[in-house]
Amino acid sequence: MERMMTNPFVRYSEKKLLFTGLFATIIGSVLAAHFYTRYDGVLDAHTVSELKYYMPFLDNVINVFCLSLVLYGIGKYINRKTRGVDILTVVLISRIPLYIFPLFQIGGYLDEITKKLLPAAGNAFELNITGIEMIFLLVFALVYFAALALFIVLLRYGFAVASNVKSVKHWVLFAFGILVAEILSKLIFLTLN
Amino acid sequence: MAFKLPVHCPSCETMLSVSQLSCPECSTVVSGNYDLPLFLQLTRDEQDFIMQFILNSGSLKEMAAQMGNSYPTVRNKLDDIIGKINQLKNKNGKDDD
Repeated sequence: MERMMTNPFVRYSEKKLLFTGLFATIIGSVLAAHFYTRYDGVLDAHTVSELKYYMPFLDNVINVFCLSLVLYGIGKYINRKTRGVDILTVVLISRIPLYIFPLFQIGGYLDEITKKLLPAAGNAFELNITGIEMIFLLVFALVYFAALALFIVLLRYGFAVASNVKSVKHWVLFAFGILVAEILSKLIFLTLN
Repeated sequence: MAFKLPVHCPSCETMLSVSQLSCPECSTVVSGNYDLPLFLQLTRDEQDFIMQFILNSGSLKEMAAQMGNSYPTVRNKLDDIIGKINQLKNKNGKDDD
């Protein structure tokens, strides 16, 4: 079970992974559109007050494209037998944990707390939030960091299978690749906005 | 019960060689010092993988479906075995020199 959760790429065929990944991306985009969330970067997720329905879909397409493109290039350099479809499924499946983010927007509770926090920005002593709101923020932060960590773990395991990565040098390239994909996606978002 | 052919010395881990062969019919014994064939120098798991590869006419996709693994997992295993065979070939070549 643990292996299935952390490394589904060893066991499942690319068709199953691709279908699951695409389905999850669509669901994640619908949730983000419904709960005013934007994924404006490979590693980013933000709440917004105004949103056109297509934006989260476009965000996810750009993020998946950037990460897949960079990791495919690095994968090909490491192992020429690396296939594009394997990298694409790794990226699609790895992003699933990030789609939990919009769920914290249900009821607009997170947005309300954020609005309360904004006037006190830079001064922790003037925070005007209740204990329950503080606990909500803490749970949100923990869950979001856990989701981000799971995203990286899934990406790491998936990339290892897709490109047969073994050496430290290759893992350094992988980490560098994530940063390059983040910068590339940010540049695209800046150009589009 | 099929016994596992030992290929490494249990004491010092050096690759074993064949020093005696015998005929199960007439008990004729041939003595000498022969290297193990390269295929036998692989682990049992690796030998089984190669056997499956041949029986599946070299189709990694069919092997992946049979083994319940993904295609890149099976391809990586094949690549690892190829790497090991090349290492053994180089090592055996150096030993011959």
